Amino acid sequence: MNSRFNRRSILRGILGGGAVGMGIPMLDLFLDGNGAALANGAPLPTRVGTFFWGLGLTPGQWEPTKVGANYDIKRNLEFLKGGLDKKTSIFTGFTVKLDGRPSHAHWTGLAAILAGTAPARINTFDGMPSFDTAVANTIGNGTRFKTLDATPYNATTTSYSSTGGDNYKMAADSPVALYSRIFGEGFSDPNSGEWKPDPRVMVKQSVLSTVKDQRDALWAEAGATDRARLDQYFTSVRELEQRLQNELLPPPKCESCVVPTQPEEIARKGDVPTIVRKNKDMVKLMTMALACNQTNVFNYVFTTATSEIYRPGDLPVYHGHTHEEPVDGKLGYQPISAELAQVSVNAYGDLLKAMDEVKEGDGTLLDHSLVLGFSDTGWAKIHSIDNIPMLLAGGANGRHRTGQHVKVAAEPVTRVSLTMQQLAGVPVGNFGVGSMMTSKSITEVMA
Amino acid sequence: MNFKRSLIAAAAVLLTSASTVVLTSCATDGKQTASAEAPSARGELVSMRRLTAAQYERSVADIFGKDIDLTGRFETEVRVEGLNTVGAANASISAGGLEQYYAMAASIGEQALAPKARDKTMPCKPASAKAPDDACATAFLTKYGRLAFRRPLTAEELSSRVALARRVAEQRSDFYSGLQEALTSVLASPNFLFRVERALPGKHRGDRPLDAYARASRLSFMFWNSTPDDELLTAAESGALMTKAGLQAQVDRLAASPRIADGVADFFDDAMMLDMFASQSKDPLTFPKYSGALAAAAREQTLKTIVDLLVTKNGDYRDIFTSNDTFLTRELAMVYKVPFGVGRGWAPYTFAESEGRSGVLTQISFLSLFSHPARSSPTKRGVALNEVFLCQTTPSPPGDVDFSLINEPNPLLKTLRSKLTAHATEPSCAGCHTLVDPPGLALEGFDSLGERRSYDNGELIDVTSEWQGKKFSGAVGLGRLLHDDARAPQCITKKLYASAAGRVIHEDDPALKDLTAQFTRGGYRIPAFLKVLAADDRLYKVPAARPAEQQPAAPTKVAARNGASS
Amino acid sequence: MTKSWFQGLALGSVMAAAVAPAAHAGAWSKAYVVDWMEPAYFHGGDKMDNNGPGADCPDGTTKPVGWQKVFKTPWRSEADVKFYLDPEKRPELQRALRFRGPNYEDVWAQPWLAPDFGMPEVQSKVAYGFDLDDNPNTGGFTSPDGKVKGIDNGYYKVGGCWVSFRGQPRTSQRGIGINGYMTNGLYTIVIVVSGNEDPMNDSKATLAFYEAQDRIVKDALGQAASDATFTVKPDIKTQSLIPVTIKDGVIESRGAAEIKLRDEAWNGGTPSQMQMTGGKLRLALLPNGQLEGYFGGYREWKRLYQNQAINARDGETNQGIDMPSFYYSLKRNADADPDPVTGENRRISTVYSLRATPSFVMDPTGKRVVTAPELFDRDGATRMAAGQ
Repeated sequence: MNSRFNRRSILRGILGGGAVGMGIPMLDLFLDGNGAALANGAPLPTRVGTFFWGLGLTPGQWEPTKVGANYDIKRNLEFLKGGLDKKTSIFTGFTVKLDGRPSHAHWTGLAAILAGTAPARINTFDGMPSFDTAVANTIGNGTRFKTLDATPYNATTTSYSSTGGDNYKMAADSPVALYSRIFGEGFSDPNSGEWKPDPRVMVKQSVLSTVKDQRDALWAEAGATDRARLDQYFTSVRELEQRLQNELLPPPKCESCVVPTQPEEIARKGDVPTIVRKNKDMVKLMTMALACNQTNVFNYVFTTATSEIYRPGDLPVYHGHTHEEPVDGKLGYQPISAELAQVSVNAYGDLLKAMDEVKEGDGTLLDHSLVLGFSDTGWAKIHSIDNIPMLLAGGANGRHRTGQHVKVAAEPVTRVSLTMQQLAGVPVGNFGVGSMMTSKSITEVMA
Repeated sequence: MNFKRSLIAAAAVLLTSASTVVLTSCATDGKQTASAEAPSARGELVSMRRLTAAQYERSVADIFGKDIDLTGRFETEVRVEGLNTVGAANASISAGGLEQYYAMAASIGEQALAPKARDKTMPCKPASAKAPDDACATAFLTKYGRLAFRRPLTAEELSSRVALARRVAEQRSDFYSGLQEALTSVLASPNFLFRVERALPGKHRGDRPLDAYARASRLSFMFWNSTPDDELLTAAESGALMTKAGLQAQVDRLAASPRIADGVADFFDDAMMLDMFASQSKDPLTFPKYSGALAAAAREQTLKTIVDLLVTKNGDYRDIFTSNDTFLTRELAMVYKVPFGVGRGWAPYTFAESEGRSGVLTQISFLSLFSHPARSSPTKRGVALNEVFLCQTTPSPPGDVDFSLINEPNPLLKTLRSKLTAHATEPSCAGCHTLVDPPGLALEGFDSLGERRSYDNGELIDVTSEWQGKKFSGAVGLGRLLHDDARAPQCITKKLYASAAGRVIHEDDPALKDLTAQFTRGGYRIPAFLKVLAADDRLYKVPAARPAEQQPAAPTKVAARNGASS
Repeated sequence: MTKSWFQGLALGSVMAAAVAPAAHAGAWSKAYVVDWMEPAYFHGGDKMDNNGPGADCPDGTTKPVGWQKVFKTPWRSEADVKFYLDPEKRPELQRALRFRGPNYEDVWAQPWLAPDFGMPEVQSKVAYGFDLDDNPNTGGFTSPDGKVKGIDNGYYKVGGCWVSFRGQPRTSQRGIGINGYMTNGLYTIVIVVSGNEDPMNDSKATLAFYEAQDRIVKDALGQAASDATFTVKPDIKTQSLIPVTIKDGVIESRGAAEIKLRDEAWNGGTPSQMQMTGGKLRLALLPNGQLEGYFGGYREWKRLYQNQAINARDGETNQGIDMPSFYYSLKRNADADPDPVTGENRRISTVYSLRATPSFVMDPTGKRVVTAPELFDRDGATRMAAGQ
């Protein structure tokens, strides 16, 4: 008796998505419009990335005065001028809740944003994964790389992305290294026409199929009100099936994928002109990795938290300046530190510009992406963990209501991390530990 | 197993006619479909209640162990007649929600069948971990399907999943991977996500008894707020649960378990709307002590207080309005402005009389939930108190109500009391405000967070009040009044009954008066009353439909109303 | 059992701290947690500018002495110096700076082996503090309001122009830094004021400093939250009982006292004991319930040097302060406790500002509120009456 085998459900699942449409008549009727809209070919994936730079920004020099849409652009964020501001949201006033934990200089801030915790020990996330892991688990499976990590900076730590257990990823740390990782061995041109459907999607369809088999039995027994609710439930099943069916369609041609030529190696130096040049090369490579469907998820570290980039001829490095440089009485800030902060955030701007230059479908690659730019501190001079700069760029295929300035009073940074994950499509209801545990999405930036 | 065989036959017949039925129901108003009056061999489906978040969590912990980590978002609960457990009968699952439930199901399967967890989870060992094994898959799915569906799987439900497990195991050369997918299919099924209740045929509409499995579920969710355990399902299978003695034996067993604390805590969490904490915020400039952690502790404080009084001490329900025994953490003590010793965590505490507190109404949970972010609200507190503890609903304010008197600074009207008094003299407002404001005004000695205060805007606060023809003063006076209000025990009886039955209980329900009398005779003891209710045959009957019930009940006012009251 | 440990505690003896106290005779006590403490450095420059020139530091905050200058030793070639000063060699630089003694000695540990380049000291005559030696002709500072002459604050003279020390109250990098460590949980200092007359006017009250076992609880605005409970750490090294008088809400020490408490944090390391001789104190009860003011006394200057030298890496490489010059300046300005043999002063006058927030303080068992002056040693029940 156990060997009784429901051929119908298995066939429907395993043998391709096309048969899914053979479901229950009424549900078909109900879904026709929606199904047609979705059947127009698979939607473009949302690409998600994090971009980190160390030592924050200059307090008072980046936070817009105006809250909401059409915010004003301050000195540190001049790269937003010319349209990027309409594709970028800015978050101010977010902070780290320590719950009695120590505030580790240059660590706690980034740990709170990435892992939702104020770790007991420095250089750990208390064993927790950074949130990009959840993003990669959700949207990273269909591409060659689940995630890609890169940095133009020379340091032993090259990534803050962790899948847990306080191990951090190793990032490609030069244009040549990144190029060979993406376009070297194992790379096949996405426009060459070879494509195989993901068997995991087909299994998921089979699972849903066994769920749906129960519909008839329940329906037959139910009264009118319960039927309406059953209908809603099975409509939801059908919507999920439709999404899976789309995942089984061959991906659209990567019209914007242009395989770059091998870059030249650049000296491993931390002076500003060198690192800026290196960064420009590397963000372009990363952009093509996305456009050529090699990955949907990336982490980019411009500098580590204690950034030691320096101006040519200058003795102290950036980190040193943040501590020793006096606040200019007239300007109200540390001028050299502000200059280096601008260099750092401009590197993020260079990535956004590169992504926005790639045309894709009805918009640009940036419109189909979501890139969190963030740092470790709100004011490096005193290692403040209040008002840590966080910017969210890219339209996320219409899910991100861009161009907003969201200002709060001392709310946890995890609200931004949670919102980012939800915009990326991660099924997550809350994020963070202790007082930073939040289920409050930032609805102002959700379309 | 004749029963099962006949099920298959019935299901097979229905499968072929399903589409016809669908179309019929689509074309009519649904009152006269063929199947509604023709119960199947399994009994007619009479109710579907979506699992609440708490029920889902407890069920998963009971079935697969407490170390399963649940990461996902639950659908928003719907509160009807003050209870999510009643609203659950109106709730469905959206596409976004299904994705969440699916992801949770997959993650549970992954954790339960992870190499380290397998030994504990598996009832059998497959011949090979790299190949399908139908016998072992059947054993596994029979065991966990029964716990998840709260009844044995039908032959088709089982065989389709065994087949799924086999296919995936073949494809991936991994027995456990196949099992995982089959388990995902169990946990994403409406039979798990909804409590599906069926009734047996009866003599007339109002006399159809629920079947044994529905009976088992009602019992289990009532006492433990979780899925029935093996023993309870066995009693349902054997038919013992349908006998008076068999039912009583299970009632006694469930009530004697320490897990009754879970059932009682979850019920009061629901009835006191403590889940609203998730969306509450307080102005940090005015209330810097407020945080998400404090809110969670405040919620827990109230539940600990209630369980301690009603279960641990088996106390009089009415004492929740007057007892000053509670539990505190260091952070809560800061808001109550009392010293806190004995290290970290929770410690019992008794408020001194001089603190002016009185029972759960003066805890941070109630005081802060029913306030505005920056100021207290006698009206919100009054409306909530009436609705939560007395089952008295307040009509919504008229749409064109003018709140300027309350919200704008006025040198002549400094305190909320004076502003409210001015506002409530408007004839269109007076009707309700005279009912809800007086008890709320007696709580004005506590601000929007629940801290004690003596002044509002520099004016000394007057906490005297008059309500129901009685004069009283402050929270202590209000607590005494509620303690002696006969509506309070009747209200809690009604809510316990509604929560267990998953439907609105009307004032004229014949069982209500009788049950209230039994609660009263029993000295207002909740555990004893739950036993009375659980052993009462009327709980397991499908009521005759009332004309009014053709429409789904309206959501509860307090929860639905945002800011329209002061 | 539910009748808990301190049922009835909230009555009588403990006053709800945030409520305006009513005048009444009889035993009373009030407790606080210190939420800000920093060296009291009067800022003589522009209000909005912590670094520009002012009467205190005519050249503004201390400019780096210059690494080339301190780095060049007879045994180091110009090429060596150039090598270490390349920003790419920064990690090596710190080590090279430290071991720049005549024979590669650690000059942070043995500063006397290096030359004195001259620490820029405070030039003005205005300072916060006390006339510790009751001699208006010594010390040389006058209070900002001109009322107190002969203020002794040698530590301010030494470090007042140091870039991280200088600034308006509660804005210096150092002040923000050390208090950040404290409020983030590195250590906690609590205060119990008690007496038998009246909290606003008491001729024989006592102020007690304790270290607490519990961390400060921060509120949503990042400040120390009020009304938290703290348990005393049983360690008399960080406790003092200071006889005080209270007049119209202003607390003042009665005579010179030994003041012992937990020291300020030095760049994140767990601080040790702060010990002052000849100490004085003046704190005011503010209308919002807080306590604010100053305390001071003579501290061992070698200890102050060592505290800095532990993290000289930061002082030298990040702030450009020449450690040996700091050492010589402390030695020069030491003004108390002459060594019987050499005659050299071993202590230097110091002043700290302090702010504290209402709280509850329990004895080390966590079961009894501290309401009277007493000390709690590690052995448990050691108690000493206040010296009143």
